[in-house]
Amino acid sequence: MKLGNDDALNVEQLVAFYGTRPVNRGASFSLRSGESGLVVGANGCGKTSILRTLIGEVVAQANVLEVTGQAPIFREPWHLTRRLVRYVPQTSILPGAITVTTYLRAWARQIRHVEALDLTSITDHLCHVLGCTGERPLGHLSFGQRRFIDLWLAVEAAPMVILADEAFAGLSAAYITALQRRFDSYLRHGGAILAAAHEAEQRYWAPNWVCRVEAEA
Amino acid sequence: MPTALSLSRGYVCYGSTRIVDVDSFVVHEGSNVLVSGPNGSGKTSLFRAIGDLGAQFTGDTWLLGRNAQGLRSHSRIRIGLRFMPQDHSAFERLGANDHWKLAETMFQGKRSGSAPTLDLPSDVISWRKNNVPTGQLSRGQAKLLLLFSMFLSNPKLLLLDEPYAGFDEIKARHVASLITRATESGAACIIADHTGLAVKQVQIAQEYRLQPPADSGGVFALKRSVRGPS
Repeated sequence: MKLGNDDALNVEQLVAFYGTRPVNRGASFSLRSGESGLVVGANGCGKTSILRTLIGEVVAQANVLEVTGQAPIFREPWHLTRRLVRYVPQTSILPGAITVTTYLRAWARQIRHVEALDLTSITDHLCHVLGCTGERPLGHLSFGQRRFIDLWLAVEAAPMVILADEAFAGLSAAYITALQRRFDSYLRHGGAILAAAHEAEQRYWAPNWVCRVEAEA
Repeated sequence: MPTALSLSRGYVCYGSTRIVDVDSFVVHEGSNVLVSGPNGSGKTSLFRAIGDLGAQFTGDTWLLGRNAQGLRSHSRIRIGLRFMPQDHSAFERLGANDHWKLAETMFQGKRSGSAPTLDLPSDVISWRKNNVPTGQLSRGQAKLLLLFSMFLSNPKLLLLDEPYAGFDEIKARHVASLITRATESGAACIIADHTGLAVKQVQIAQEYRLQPPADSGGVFALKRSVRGPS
């Protein structure tokens, strides 16, 4: 399985903006297929904003801004890019009222580009790790369990790049270990991961590079 | 010290779904109690049951000197219970100072007298001064703002769900100082924490663990840790 082209991300002097207000000082990095990169910094320095510029959710200025060889267009509906890029936000957006099984069926309908998607196997595995049945409403799962589902399914969708915001915050050791193995496998198959994290969470990653982000004064 | 919370002989549930067995869970005023357990073991459900926020506790519940059976969430808040969820619940379009005023209005009114003096970090002061919409703050920043505004109400029992998650080192120290300040003023804090910072940064009087079920059909059980007081 070949997931991506060689240049997953290419960014030079990227600054995110809220209105006319610059959020961060210029950040530069490039990420190739099979690599992971880590954006670190204090609360409010612009880590999340940088990730959101890459899917066109936040306005950006940059000398170069390419995501899988294209420039993200501000406010382009993000589902158009999700086959190339999966953004996993800090807060799970899973709907609370439907069951795990129902959600996974709906999710699988979006992932038609993945060949031989074994939904039964994915459902059984997730329920085993979560310690619940497929009939459990998502709203009855904990914050950490919902985060785990988000991150696991991001890998199963086999995008060219995963943008993971504070991936391991609030997760217990068993979940972190399971995700680390899954991410390693994804990278070996040619995926690329750009993660945002605090200094304290750096120990969970073995990235190819670390980019320190500073807030614009 | 008087008891701030006592749960005994029951279980936490959502309707007919049993989540956590609790034989005895006691929290004294002016102390910090750590609740630990893996993701999905029922920490947040326990908090929701204490706050009557969708989950229920079937056994005896004494909360801040009252029998809390049948006491709804708004009444529990009125007598001094506060819940800080793992993910903040700020209104994105509302400014930082608007949140602050809302907290003052909701919790102080004419009953509690003047606001307590909080040693605010410079960035919290700046967000309030500029009334920055919380949608423009990072998740950690918005969570810190709400955490500080929660202390305006002189809480008596705080349920802190992963209070350190998503904070850098400096903000984690702010969280620790708030918790210490609360317990010194006689409040009790129940803390669920995966980061390990709670044990390092505040004095934990007692630890309870959510222990996994012995068989696959069972549920987690809340047990007092054998490690005892720190």
